[in-house]
Amino acid sequence: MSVAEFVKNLKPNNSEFGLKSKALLEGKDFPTTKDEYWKYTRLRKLTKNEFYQKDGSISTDLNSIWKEDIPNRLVVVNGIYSPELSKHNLNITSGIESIAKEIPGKDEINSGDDQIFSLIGKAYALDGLKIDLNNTKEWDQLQIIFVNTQNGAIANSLIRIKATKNANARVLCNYVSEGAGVGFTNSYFNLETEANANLELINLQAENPNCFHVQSVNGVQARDSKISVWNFSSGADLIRNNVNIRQDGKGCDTHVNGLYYGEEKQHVDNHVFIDHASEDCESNELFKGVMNGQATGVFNGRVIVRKDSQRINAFQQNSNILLSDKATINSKPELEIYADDVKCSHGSVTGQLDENALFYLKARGISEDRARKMLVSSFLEEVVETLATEELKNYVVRQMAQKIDLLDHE
Amino acid sequence: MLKIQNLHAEIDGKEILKGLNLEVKAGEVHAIMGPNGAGKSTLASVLAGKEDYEITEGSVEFEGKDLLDMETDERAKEGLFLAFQYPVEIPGVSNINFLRTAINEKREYLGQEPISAKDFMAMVRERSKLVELDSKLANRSVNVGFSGGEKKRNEIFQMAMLEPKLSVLDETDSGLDIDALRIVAKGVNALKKEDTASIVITHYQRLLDYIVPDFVHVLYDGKIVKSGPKELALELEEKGYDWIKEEVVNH
Repeated sequence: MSVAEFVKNLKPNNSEFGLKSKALLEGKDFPTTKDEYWKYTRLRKLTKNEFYQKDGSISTDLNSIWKEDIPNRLVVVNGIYSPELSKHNLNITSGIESIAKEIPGKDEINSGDDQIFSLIGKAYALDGLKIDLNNTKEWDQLQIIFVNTQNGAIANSLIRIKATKNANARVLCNYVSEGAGVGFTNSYFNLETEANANLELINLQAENPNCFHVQSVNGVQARDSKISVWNFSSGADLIRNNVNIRQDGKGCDTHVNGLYYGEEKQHVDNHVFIDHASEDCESNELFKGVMNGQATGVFNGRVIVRKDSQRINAFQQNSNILLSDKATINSKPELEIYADDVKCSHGSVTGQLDENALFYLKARGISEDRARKMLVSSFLEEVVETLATEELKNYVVRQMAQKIDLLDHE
Repeated sequence: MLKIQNLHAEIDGKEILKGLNLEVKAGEVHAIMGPNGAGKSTLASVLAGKEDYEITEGSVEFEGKDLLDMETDERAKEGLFLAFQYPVEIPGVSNINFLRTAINEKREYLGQEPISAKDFMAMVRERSKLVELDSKLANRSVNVGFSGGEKKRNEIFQMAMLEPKLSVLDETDSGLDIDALRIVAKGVNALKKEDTASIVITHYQRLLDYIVPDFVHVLYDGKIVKSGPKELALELEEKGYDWIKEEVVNH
């Protein structure tokens, strides 16, 4: 299907980079399962819908979502920043122009995919956020809630986050939806860490099951910096996450972790691309999924170690549990190593819930239902454990448990 | 307390239990001995409700209720406990969390209030001592990284915590050295009460030096072929199982 047909109701932003992106989309079709990086993900259920740019008031109770101890709070409704609902004391500017000049040249990571959705976002987003985080003494903490009001809404959001030299910053993003009908969230992040900066981005995707979400995170790291991205996916009919990180300087550390749950006919796809473009760097990926019903999960982890990138450690692990005979997992590691002094490993395991463990718990008087929850939760816990603080771990589990009946929490 | 009548059970179409009868009354300790492949562990699994086995004939009454009609967890809540021959490792589930969940589910089932955190911890401290289980192990994942002896002691610790009416010990002595055996037996004996009962399944007599049974039964080819007082165990130790097999064949 052509992109032109899909965007026919949308008005482009007229920024220079928006128009350039729009020009790049001309004559393009959406990728199909014949395309290498879309092999397991059919876009038809998304692209067959009509979407419109909408502004709207929201009825979601944000108080149940805000993490109490984070002082800086932003709300983005259908891709448009809402100053009335937001409160912060950080260096943040909004408006398409605020990032139109910043992003070009800083997100060009050749992951092998055409990144059609990033181009759609850049061409048709009507707003953007430019966030500069520069706290070198403590951690800057920021929470952003993205609301999609559905009824055919497309939420193109463009966010650029820069952690300046030596800065520490943690950004928590919640995606929610409200209303009837379909909704599409097309979120785009450009991350940049300057030397020695440490930036964490935690995404909680908890939209309704008739929503779609494509997220593209593009990060570029300067020397001795660290980027960590988490994708917690427990909603939406179709989720596609792209995380593309390039290590431009020596001594970089990159962590990309994910936890996903799907039921009924949900589809969750995580594509990660790490470009080890410099030496003495490390990357770690840990993705765990639980698939129920007729759900499908996809994990594609591509790692490139460039010719002169010596002394690289790159680790990748993807583990899955299938709770039903009709659920599917497609797990694909892709390691391309052109340097010789490199330690790389990958593992992929897919299985069922351990029947012996289930029987053991039941034999102690624990009901089948509860025993399953305990086992699913303990399986997923490894990913939650990679979060920095106990409060954050508890918060994430609590939020996810609202969507996943199978999660055990107190 | 327990009444097994003409129990037949099969797995994958192969009959393992072929008409087993056994009656256990409150206050009694019964030992079930027998050669490998006789059906000892099958009996334990069938009583606990393992779904791999199909019951083709017979009945099991537990405290006047139809045991075979109950789900596995319901049997445990009614007071049946199985000490596993091979305790399962469950990474990510802490011993403590697991036990508190089990205790509170049972309490809820019996219409009781959940146990307070304070009472629970006091109980953990007291009962882990009973089997000389390092209380640090209680915070670890269920059986993960436990030695063979620690796993078996953990079974008896769980038994002490859950206070069952009927305990079935499935080859709890297998793989234990004499010290571990003594500790396990001490725990079992300490838990013995007038209104509880135990079935001790074992291949060897040595466990019965420490847990003295009121009755010894020989299980052979899916049936109990001989029953007697505790001295029968000694006779089996001395003469092996062959004379029993011959007796059965000649009958």
